[in-house]
Amino acid sequence: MKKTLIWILVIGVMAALIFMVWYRSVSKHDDPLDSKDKVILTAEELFKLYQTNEDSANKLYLDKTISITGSIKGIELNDNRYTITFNTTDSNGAVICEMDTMENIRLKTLQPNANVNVVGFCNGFLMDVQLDRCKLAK
Amino acid sequence: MLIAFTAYNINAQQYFTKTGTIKFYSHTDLEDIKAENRKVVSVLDSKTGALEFSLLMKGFDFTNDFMETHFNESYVESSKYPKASFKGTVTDIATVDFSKDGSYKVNYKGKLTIKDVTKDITGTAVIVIKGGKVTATSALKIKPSDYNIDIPATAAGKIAQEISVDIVMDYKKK
Repeated sequence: MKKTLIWILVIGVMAALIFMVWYRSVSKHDDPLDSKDKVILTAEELFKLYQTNEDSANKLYLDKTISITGSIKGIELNDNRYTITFNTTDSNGAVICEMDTMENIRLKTLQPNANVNVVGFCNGFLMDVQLDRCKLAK
Repeated sequence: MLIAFTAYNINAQQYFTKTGTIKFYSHTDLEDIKAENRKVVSVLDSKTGALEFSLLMKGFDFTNDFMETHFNESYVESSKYPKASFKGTVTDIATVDFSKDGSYKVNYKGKLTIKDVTKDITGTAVIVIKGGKVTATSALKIKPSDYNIDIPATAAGKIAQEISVDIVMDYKKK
């Protein structure tokens, strides 16, 4: 009887630990750098595709991992979160990448007009193409 | 119904932002759910009181990826309905003096569209003028069921029937 109770306790603790590990693994945000299905585009290409036909671009890129290259138009810091705006040839629109806060130290040294490669998730188009949870490509 | 924002439509009496914030909060005994969208686009006309905002549904950032997936795939179907929008009027905009610092309580009404369902809403907001900048804040309650956002029975106890929504728009003169 005592042995049975001990085994029940051990199995219960192991089940709880397995559940905690599983829950944490599905709870943390996906890392865009880990994606094996990245779409590789320049900021200009992505913006033009959305500007030409938003519905078609959404079918291709909405919620997809996009690896963007381009030159920086601006970098803003709000509430401890950086946002990189990429230059496009259209002065009224851009590609905006809200950066993961884990990148803050690396982002401090970036300057406008620098060329960078950023990877993030595409949320769609609202005057600009919006990406979030972005990280600097390694 | 999408609001067509372009820089060309914005004139000197209008205030504009691309970084408005909308947060929503659902509280039940079983679970609290919070999400935030920090890229809301909005225009406020200081003369006519015309007020519009638009946002991408996938732009809501949840602390838990699991909840975010359910929100996008099951509840709001953001791939099919990628945007939400509001188009309305601050009905007593004439009471706001945009030329000097001050705080004003105002009323607004208009049409809120989520998941292609449009409903008339009314509310109050506070407009603060400080150093030439305009900040508008408002709090709303929204029922998901009003916008065909169906909560499955398995999640019914975890999502409130009425969601609290907080809006903050920091405008700049265009």
